[in-house]
Amino acid sequence: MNNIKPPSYTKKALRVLVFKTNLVSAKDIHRISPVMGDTPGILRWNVDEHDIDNVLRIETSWLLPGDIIRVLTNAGYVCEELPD
Amino acid sequence: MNIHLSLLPMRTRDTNKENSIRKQAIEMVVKEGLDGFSMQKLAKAAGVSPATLYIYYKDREDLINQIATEISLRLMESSLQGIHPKMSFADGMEIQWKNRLKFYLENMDEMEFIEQIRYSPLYETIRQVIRQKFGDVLGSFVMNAINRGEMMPLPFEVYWAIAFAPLYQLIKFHSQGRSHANDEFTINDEMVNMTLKLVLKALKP
Repeated sequence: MNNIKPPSYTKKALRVLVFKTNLVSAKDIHRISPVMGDTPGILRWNVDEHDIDNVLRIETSWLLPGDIIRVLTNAGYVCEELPD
Repeated sequence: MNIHLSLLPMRTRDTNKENSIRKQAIEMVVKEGLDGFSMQKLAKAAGVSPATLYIYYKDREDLINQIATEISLRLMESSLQGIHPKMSFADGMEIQWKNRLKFYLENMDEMEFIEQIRYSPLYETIRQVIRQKFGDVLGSFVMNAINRGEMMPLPFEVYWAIAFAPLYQLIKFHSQGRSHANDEFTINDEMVNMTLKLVLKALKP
């Protein structure tokens, strides 16, 4: 039997990162769409359009909150992590 | 719409937490309506962080949808308990009435929650789930009754308005605790049986 453990990165679990933003309209969401699609590591993303905090939700296995904040800030938006 | 939370072992689902979120969400929508409902308010009421809510649900719409779908499926499942497509129309109706009445009385808040979202676009998804899961059984129960000459063929809406709306009106009076004529009203078996008898009479060919 092969008892070698797989490298730890293969076990890295999917995480959900959650941010408060000023992505208020469908237009804003449309504007960030290309850059979100181009950012490696973002598996799924969505903005809660029907809630007051305009929450951006990210599923990723290795990106850190700071990475997302940087992407959004570069695109000209406010983005702050919602604490657990 | 469906997110696969089994993929998120970093923070595993906590059933207690989830139940508390669901209970608070139902209460909030019943008390304040769909417009008064926000994720932040819900998080506070359920004693979790807003971030936690988004672990369980993709967004506000997903949360409302999941809760409403779960309630609707439970209602349909319980109302069809003991129903066989080939049973007589009268028996099948009696069982459905009793099942529905029982479910409503035991789940008043949940049913009020469904009423709140029934007229919002969110309800469309739920309607489809119900039709997919239960359309066959109910459809063949009614078709068999028509073929045996126990029930008049009618457009669906007319059938439903006669077959079930009277029960729901009695339940409504009951949950209001009063009716147009009486300051106090409580539903009872005698009244339900009386109404059902009239319904069956009306639907006979």
